[in-house]
Amino acid sequence: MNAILRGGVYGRCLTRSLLSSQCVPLRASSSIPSEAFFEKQKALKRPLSPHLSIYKPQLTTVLSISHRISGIGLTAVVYGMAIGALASKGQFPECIAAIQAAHVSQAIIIPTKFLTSSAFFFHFYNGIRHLCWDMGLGFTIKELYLTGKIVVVLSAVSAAYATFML
Amino acid sequence: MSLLIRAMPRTALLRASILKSQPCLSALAKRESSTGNHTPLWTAERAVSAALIGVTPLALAMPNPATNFLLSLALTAHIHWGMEAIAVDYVRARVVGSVLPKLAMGAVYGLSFATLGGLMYFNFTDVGLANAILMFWKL
Repeated sequence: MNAILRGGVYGRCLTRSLLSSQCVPLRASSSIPSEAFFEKQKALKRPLSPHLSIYKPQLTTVLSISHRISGIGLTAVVYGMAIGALASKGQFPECIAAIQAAHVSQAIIIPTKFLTSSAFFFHFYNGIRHLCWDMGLGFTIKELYLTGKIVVVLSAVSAAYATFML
Repeated sequence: MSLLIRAMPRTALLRASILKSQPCLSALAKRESSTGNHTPLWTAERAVSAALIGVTPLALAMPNPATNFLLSLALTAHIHWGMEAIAVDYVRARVVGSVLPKLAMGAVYGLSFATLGGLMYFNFTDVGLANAILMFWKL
């Protein structure tokens, strides 16, 4: 799904047109589509092909976009911590003490911990999977699904351990 | 072939070899990459990601100024490149106009500098990043 999002609608049209035999007459100098090309396509008012909605969610695509979503979520936490450190006058232990004094319910703390740790562990394990791909390993469909399932199970177990045992 | 290219937009070497065998795809390479050799940057991104696999558990197991410094530096670089890729992929000039992509990229750089500064400030004047995570986890 991530790959599809990256390609985008125009990207996919472009790829398809380039791959078809019609692309052969293109000269190197004119091979980059100009703004006029896109204006012309828009003016034709062709029906827009549905894109993301027509795909059945698969483990591969769902994990791919989840990697980005978890990355964005974890980034937000780090951004918040860093900017909070710059903006606030107090020290961190005071902040922790304030939270303790507020007697925040475990019904809020436990889901927070589970959500953060599952995002972290998923991004961690799936990141290793990504680095393996970057080395050219694990590209068969069978391996993709197997490693995907391993990542999901490991993340769930690790997040549960971190939430309830640490 | 197009699927392969879209699935791994940043694997420069692989793409280069595919493009060589498919002359009509060279337009894609031209469109997607600016000038210059991006291989060292790509390698640096992976090196920092790989380093974080070790640095993150190390900092949490042994929180001290050295591990906090390493973690903050590597994490900020990793976050910067990740958010940059997201801005490039989703805030595209052809879709949102020419102003927003520049704003998004500016925001990525601004946030990255603020993050590096904030984390280093936190490490030097407060309990440090790894200790803060451990203290939060005890709640």
